[in-house]
Amino acid sequence: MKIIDSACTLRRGRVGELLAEMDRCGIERAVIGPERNFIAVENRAGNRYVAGAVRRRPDRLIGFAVASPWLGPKAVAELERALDLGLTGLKISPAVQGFILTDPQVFPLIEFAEKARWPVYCVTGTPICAMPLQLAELAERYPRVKFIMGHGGFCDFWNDIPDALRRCPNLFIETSYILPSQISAWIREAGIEKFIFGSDFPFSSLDLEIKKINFLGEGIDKQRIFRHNLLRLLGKSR
Amino acid sequence: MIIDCHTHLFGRWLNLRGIRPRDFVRIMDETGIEKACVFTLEGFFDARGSNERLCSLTKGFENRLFPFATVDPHMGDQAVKDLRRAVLKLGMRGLKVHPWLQAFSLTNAYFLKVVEEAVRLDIPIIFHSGSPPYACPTQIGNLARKFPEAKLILGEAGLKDLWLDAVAVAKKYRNIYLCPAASPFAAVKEMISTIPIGKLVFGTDLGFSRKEEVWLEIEKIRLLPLTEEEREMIFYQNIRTLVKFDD
Repeated sequence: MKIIDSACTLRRGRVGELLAEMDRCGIERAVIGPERNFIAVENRAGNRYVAGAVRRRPDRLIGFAVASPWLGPKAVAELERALDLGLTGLKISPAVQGFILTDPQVFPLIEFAEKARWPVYCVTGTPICAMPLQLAELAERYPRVKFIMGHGGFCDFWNDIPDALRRCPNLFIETSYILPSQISAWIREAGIEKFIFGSDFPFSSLDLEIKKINFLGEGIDKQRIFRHNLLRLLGKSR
Repeated sequence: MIIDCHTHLFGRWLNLRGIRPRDFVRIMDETGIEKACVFTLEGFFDARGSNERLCSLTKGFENRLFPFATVDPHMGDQAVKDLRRAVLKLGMRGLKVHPWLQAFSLTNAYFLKVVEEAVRLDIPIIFHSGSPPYACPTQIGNLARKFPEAKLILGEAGLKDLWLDAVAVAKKYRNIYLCPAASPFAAVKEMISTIPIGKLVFGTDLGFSRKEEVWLEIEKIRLLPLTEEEREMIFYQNIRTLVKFDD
């Protein structure tokens, strides 16, 4: 089975390392974003090197852009540049970028994503700014934008996950860190179409994240989690 | 050999029912766990009688399951009495607290008396850690500063968001140990390179998690760039310096 990973970080100058790890683990394509410091500051440099890697290997890499909401109109201008460079999604990280998800200063970025038909990947799990139900608020405000709940709210928000997913048809969940027993229970409650494989490589172990999905029960169609749900979300047929 | 120092035995917790002792030991056999420190599931919500119930569940598995007590600081001085009884009468091997679920601050005056008693009884205390507002590594660090003789283990080692705090307090306080169950792989890699290996202990959270997650936690330690000797320290030797296992 060819896996598509929705959540990788590309460290600067480490494209070869990422591709080798993808080959070793059977990852056909990966969504990549820039490193943490480029998410917080130096957004342009981060978007540039991610776009450079995507240009080198468009068959293997899908690049998401970053821009700090604190930059105001300059953030939107940066996303426009990123779009021109070939990036195809937005990644936000409230804890790293220092905002909460209901803060209106993030709205122009989401409006840009809506216009560009970009999905929005949001890192979640960190109180007080990056909780699943805060993301649900944003998802309800922008029902035409597809949102991915990065790291599935890990660790302390498991009670909120099924409600957040059921409330928002446009909200999906990425599987890194969360336990297989939780994933199985949430699939029963919210439907398998919501679940998208992500490893958070290199921060989590790609081996263990894949193994984890393979531990899910026999009745669960892993192909959908490993591949189909993300392809549909990205608007790709295959 | 592997000793799992962080598990929950059969009990009720919301819709979770835990694992019955016989099945629990079978999972240990299948995953290669020789001994386990077992905690309550339900006692974090109502501690009354939970230590007795947990001990009775370990009957017949005395060389495999080593029960840890819990107490409720909201009960005032009763908490200290409960701990003394748990250790001296019931033979429990340590104290587990989950300050978030049990809703108490680590500065709570009754809890400080419990810690004093744990020092007198010479037992370790293992904490859930990584969840604000009550279960943060720096709050446990603050406690380590007040009680340099207490043996304090950070279960989950700060989790995904507070592991840097866990590393900081483990470096700073001699009496803090980390049990990186559910910690991100890169965080554990950082731990093995920046804090002494003697401060890391192995745990899986079995009972809250399932057999598959035990495999993943074992695999996580196996994937780390460690010598065999260091791996053995994490898998079983370090915890033996903190918990009395009768051998």
